[in-house]
Amino acid sequence: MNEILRIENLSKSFGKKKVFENLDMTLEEGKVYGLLGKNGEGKTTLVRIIMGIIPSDTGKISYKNKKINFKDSYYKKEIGFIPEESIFFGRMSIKELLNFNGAFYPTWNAQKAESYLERFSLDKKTKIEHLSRGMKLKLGLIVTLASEPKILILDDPTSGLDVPTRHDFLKEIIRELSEAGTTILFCTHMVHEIEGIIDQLGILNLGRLILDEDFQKIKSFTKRILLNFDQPLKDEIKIEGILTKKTNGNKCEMVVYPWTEEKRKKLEDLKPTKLEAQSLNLEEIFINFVS
Amino acid sequence: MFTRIFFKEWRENLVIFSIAVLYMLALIVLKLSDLKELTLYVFGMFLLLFLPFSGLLIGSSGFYSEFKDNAWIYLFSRPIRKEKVWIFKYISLLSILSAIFLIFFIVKQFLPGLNEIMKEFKVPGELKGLFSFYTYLVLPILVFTISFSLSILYEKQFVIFSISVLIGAGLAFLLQQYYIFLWTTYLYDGKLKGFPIFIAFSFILASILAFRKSDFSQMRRKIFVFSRYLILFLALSFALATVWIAKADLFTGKKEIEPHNYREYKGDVYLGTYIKGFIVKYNSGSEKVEKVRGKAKSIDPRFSIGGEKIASFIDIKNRGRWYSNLWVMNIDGSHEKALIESHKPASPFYNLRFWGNCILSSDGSKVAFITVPYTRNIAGTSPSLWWMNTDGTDLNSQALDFSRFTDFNLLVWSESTNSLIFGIKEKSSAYKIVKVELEKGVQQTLVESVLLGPYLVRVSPDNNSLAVRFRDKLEDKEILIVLDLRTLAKRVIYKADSLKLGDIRWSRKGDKVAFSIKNEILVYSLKEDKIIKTIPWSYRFGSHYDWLLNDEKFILDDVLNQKKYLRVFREDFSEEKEIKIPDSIETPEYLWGLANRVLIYDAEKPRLWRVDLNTQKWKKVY
Repeated sequence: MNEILRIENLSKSFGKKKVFENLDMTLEEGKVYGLLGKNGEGKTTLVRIIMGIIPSDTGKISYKNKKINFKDSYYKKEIGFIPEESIFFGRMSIKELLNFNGAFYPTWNAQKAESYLERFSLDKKTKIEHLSRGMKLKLGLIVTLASEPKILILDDPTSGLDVPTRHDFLKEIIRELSEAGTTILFCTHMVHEIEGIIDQLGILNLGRLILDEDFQKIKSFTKRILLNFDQPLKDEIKIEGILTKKTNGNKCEMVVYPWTEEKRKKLEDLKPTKLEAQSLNLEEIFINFVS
Repeated sequence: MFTRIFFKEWRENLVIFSIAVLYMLALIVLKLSDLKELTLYVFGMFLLLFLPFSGLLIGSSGFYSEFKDNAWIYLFSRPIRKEKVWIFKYISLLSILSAIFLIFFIVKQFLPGLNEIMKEFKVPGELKGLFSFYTYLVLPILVFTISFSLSILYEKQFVIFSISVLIGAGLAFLLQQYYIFLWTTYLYDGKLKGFPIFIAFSFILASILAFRKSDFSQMRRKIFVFSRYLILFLALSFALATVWIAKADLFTGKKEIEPHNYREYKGDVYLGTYIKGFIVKYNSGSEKVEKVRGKAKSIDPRFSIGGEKIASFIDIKNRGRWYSNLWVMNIDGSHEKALIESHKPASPFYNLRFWGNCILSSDGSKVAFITVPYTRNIAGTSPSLWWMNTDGTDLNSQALDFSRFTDFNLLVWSESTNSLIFGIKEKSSAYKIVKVELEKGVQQTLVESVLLGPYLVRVSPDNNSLAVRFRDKLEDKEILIVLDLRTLAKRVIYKADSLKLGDIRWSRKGDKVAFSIKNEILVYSLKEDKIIKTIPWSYRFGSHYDWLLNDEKFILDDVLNQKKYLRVFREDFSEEKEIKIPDSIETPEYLWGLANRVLIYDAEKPRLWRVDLNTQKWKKVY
């Protein structure tokens, strides 16, 4: 796979508050990258830096192996962006917005916009300020998709949406785009949203990207280990990659990443009466990584 | 993309535009329905306020919708350079303001009275000179630019509006101080008409750079970036303007000359300039207009030439008061020095005011001037005549017996009689010509009831005679005479019930006087004591005839069959040729004969042109 977007040593502060520091990240062409992080961890800031909305303090971003500067705009022709909040001029009608937006993109597909309007049952004459939150998201999607982007960046777009809309958005549209080969960066704190969609997972925590791996690999290699012993353990269990650990008498439960055969053998040397490795869902993985 | 932004801005500001249109239409309707003058005045004043108000309102709305709807994120994430967004929006909004101007100018055509109202539009203090003429155009665009530039900083339009007003007032104050600084440092004496452009550009550049570079999610940082650039560019503007003004001799050719106060000396013509107060010289050798005076300035260049020297008053403002200082320099502008610096408290002239002009003796060794006490009301005060050597020594004065004076003008230093001749106007009476003998102190009135004051009194080339017009009350006639300053004999040249007298020109040898009466130019010979030539001519204001080549030729400009011509006469006044004056010279107002060339001042542009009488080729020299 070719890398399409690379972020190196990116740092950003607001006043004295460091948002993140020396961030490295890579998006591969055609893959869906899920970026998880609690509120305030800097996901929106990162996305805004990528989109050239705000400048970074240090670091470098490359698009298709070419460095992009804060003032550059050419690469935005190929990047679609859907933020959490509505960013459209409220006094415009949908039709006016589509015309306005179309002028920015040489690849603008008016037919596609029309067909999505129909699919989402949006009336072109409606003023944007009169649209509901879900409708605005749909409009954002139309505006983005009709520009036929190579990369789609989603910044917590589904927060506050009702279930059917979320379902429609996630399961259908994103899947559709992904299958069409569009690279997607999906930033969210709502973990369950992206499970089953993403190929790659990154977790932002305390200003650092603490995880950046293939999602299937993460799922396979993150395990909850349940251990039982005859008697309470005198010494600490010492293996690398323990994310969380709870000890209760002669029982011990821990989450380990990456779980390997070597680590299994190490634990077996402790002669447990029980050693069980359980798989975790994404939410559990996320919680264990950020705890 | 520009078109989309253009229409978007128009849509968003349609309300303001509509109000402007309706307001102006209402004004026309009211006028057509026989609007009373006072109402028109009130409406007109509102209209004039409405223009800068519109500028502020439209400008401060610049990025309002971007802030309100978070649409700045939308715009910044589109494939368009940020500065382009700024510029497109600026042009679009400016077009709305321009459309309002356009309608305003159309309304003006319907309401000619509006022009009068516009003249009444007041701008405080020193800025009146800066803004009065351009107020209705420059001020709205300037405040629009300021408020638009600021609108990138904060979402509340009212706040931007108010801050723009405050900054505008602050800048006005700053400009006023700058203006005073320029005066007091001799750097400048005119109007800073172009300066609002510097200010506007400072705001534009600061705003574009802040817009392009700063972090929009951090308001304080954005304001900091903007302020830093603004201060830098404003400082640069002031510095550049100062350097530009200080080096303004490079631009002398672009200043408006003041032809009424001209002096001819050794084949060159010396003129003052309106705007800079420089003295410029038409150098007949190089055929260029060159700046003569160095740093010295004066709005009204009251200068005198004598010997190889120039003397001039220079007005400066110091601590809120105007002073005139007396400077002397060589004819080429070198060795410029202040003989009197009345703005210095230690100066004996600190509490005196210079009145009228100064005058040099023909050898340039002495200079004379008149002062009055520095009081609000000069009535009852006693003027003094002063004279001194141009090396600064031997200062003398004599009180003059004219406590009811309202104007003075020194005419000539008559060395043959060691006396000074000046014109003086006293309250409720006409000008008179007075002679003061410098050694004896005797004051003698030579001519009473001088018409048009001393400004149409012409001194003969040898400084011994005056051509002057006065009204004889006994005969009830206007009389043009030549007054011999040595014998005080008056020779009547022309007498009529009423003279429509144009300029008076002495021949180079001083034996003839040409003058115009209505539609004729008459030449009087002192030798023959009679009018020797009458030339039909179309009367126009100004100075349209002169001698040249040691009186071998006489030239005049005239209008024949609605075309302008330069007519050349031989010494015996037979006509030699007519040279067509190019149509680009619209209003010839002054004419000087210099060797075999003629210099013409076109008052319309204004421009200086010269024509070579042999080749008949015209050349614009100024």
